[in-house]
Amino acid sequence: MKGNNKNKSDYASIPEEAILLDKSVKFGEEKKAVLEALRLSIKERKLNYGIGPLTDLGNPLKNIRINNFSIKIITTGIYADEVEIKLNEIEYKHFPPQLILLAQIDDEYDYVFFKGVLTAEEFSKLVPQRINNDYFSLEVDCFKGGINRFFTFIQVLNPEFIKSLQEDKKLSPILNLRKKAAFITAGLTAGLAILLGSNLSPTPKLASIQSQQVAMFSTLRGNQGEAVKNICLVTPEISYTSDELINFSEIKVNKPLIYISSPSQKLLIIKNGSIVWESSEILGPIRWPVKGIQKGDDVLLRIKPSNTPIGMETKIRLLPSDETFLDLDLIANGLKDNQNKWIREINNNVKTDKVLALSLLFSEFAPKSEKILNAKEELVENTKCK
Amino acid sequence: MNTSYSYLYFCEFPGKKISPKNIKSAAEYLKNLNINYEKPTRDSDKEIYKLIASDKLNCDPLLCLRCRVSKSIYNQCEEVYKNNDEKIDLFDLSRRALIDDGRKNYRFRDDSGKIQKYLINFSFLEKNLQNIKMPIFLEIIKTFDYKRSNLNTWTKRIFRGDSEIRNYMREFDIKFIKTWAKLADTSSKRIKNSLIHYGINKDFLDDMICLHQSYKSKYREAKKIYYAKNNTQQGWEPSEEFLRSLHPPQENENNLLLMEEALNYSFLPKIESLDDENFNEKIKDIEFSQDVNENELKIKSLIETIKKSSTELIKEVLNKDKKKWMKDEERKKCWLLYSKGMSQREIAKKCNHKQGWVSKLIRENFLGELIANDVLISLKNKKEFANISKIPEELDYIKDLIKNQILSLEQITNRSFLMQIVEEELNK
Repeated sequence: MKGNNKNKSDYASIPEEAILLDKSVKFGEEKKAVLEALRLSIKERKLNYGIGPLTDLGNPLKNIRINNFSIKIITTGIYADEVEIKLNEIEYKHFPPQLILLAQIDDEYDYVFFKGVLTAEEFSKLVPQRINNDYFSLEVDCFKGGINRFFTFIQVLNPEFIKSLQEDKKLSPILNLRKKAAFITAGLTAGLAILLGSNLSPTPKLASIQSQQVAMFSTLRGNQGEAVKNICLVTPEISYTSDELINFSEIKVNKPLIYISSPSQKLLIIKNGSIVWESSEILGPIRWPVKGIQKGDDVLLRIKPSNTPIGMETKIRLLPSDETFLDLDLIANGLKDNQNKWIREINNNVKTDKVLALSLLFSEFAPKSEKILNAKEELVENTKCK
Repeated sequence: MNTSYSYLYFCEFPGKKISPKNIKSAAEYLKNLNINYEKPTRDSDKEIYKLIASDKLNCDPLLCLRCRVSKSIYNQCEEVYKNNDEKIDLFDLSRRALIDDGRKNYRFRDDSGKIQKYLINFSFLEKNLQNIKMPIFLEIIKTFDYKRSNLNTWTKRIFRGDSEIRNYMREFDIKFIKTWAKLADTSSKRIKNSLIHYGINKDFLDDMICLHQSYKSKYREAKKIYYAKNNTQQGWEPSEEFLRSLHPPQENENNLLLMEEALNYSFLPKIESLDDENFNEKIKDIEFSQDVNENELKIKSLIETIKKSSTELIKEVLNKDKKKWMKDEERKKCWLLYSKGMSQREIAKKCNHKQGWVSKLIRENFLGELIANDVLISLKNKKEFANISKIPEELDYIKDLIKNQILSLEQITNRSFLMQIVEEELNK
């Protein structure tokens, strides 16, 4: 056996990018420590991003959302060379992750070190061909770029163009079959389209959609209730404003798209009296970021300008419709990967239920086809706040 | 006569030095009992410890052991310093650890805020004082178990687990590697490879792998229990009960320590800046000038944006730091020297500070990162860079390019773009 070289290796540097926590890491609350580290890092970089949802943190299936990205956080110890990924801890159905972030935690020195991030596509390529157990291991070195790559991604990439893990073949065989069938259908459709001309293939018709001007009221004493400025709101649609200056919006879908097209807004979602989601700077469409609304839920949206500290806000109360109240995921599931079906469904709803149409258009399940992507881009352009 | 049990190492603040002082009552105690050791050994530590325990109200035998512990603590400080002299100061560390001044009384405030005063003898150590954090020198003696280890090893263990020391080290980005966490985090595959590489024979190897797997599976549960009891994750050590519960059962920590030794032999952990690593590897392939010919428009637009973002950010950083220059002129000097192209090591020497101070003041890599992101955000709306918001690989590539432009040293001037911007801003 070889000699001892212990002294040299008794010490390690805390990496420059490590985020030192103010409080000790509690046993079993590693995810909370990671979110705190992200919060500190967002603050240090002076970014206006919120992290949500902050409920059910103990649930390993739960992904977080920052700047409209769905992110899976994986944690491991600071000295780990490999990380074990359990198949039943990956969420595919509602908000499948687009980015997978590896956080290494030192619970003795209370810091979090983000080893790196992978896009869902990069992650899929690393999944072994055969998984014998209900987990597989990845070397921590596979995760690239540390916290810096992560922040560059969420600041610069457009989430609409980043695939989510749901589309992975190795991890989701059922989905794979569905995908295969969809490929065949798509192939046939494409073939027919070539033979018969492209008129059969519809395009989303969203030209009629415009943003709505909604008043922002002062909450300061003295000029309380005074309309200070307007914000541009694409969805939800405001039906009326009460004497208490609360806007009401009837919704027919359980996960309505929130789309404020005025820049620098802070959004709070309050469900049954508790804040369930908070985001500092939102711009553009946000898929419903928390659990779907149920009939009887009291949901209030509070929108404030993020660059003005106090004194202004718009309140919107969402009222689930008594007539029809649809489950967005169920509709999406029924449309499968058929682009034409999606487009027809969107077009059918544009005039009757704008919220549903746009919630479908921006659904994470919507096909990432050229037509859908173009439609999204056009809509964003047309509804810009003027 | 050996002075290990009668000289106390302590910090002299006026001269900022650490020196041993003679503790008369300890020396007299030893003289009266006719005790004279050639050098301190495990047996002598044990003998003194037994004297303390048998004469519970007498402070003098405990003083003898306090002297011995002070030397041990000092050795620990020296060792940490020798291995990290570029980052920390020996006196600064020692003054946190060598806090025993040789007094026979220990004073502290109780929960109601009243000052309590106790004679430091064995009887005091036996008291189970709730909510009172013992000073490190007393913690070492109180918890010392001569059956498990010698006093030096025990001191090392307590020293490394002490929150004050840990927080100080953390401030300078250094830490002690925790054997137990390391073994729990390491994959069995790596342990196996390390043991083979280390020369463990095949018959023993299977047992060791089995032991490691068993250790990994029981570690978390043991920490959970420890946390429930102590409300902290820090300082967990395998108890005898834990060692016996392993498969195969262990009488001591030796086999686990052997695993760590094998790991250290094959793998010296060196957690470096990820950026440096990425940067150096990737940037070799990227020649900025190549692209100039390929896409002049793209490059021109890029350079303009980099210049704008860098200037804005550096202006903001310097304006914030300027507020501290009245009190600490070295900070200004540090920025100046940086703008002239000096390395952090050179700046540290000129400013009479540790290198860690410089790197904390001028967070070059972080600044480069912020500028690069700012540039990328501006670029993504330009037609010629539209792909960076859609294709992650393209984004990685352009970001490397930008950081290279900001941080790498130019061959002729031997200064980076960032250094030049700092100079421009300082001259304004």
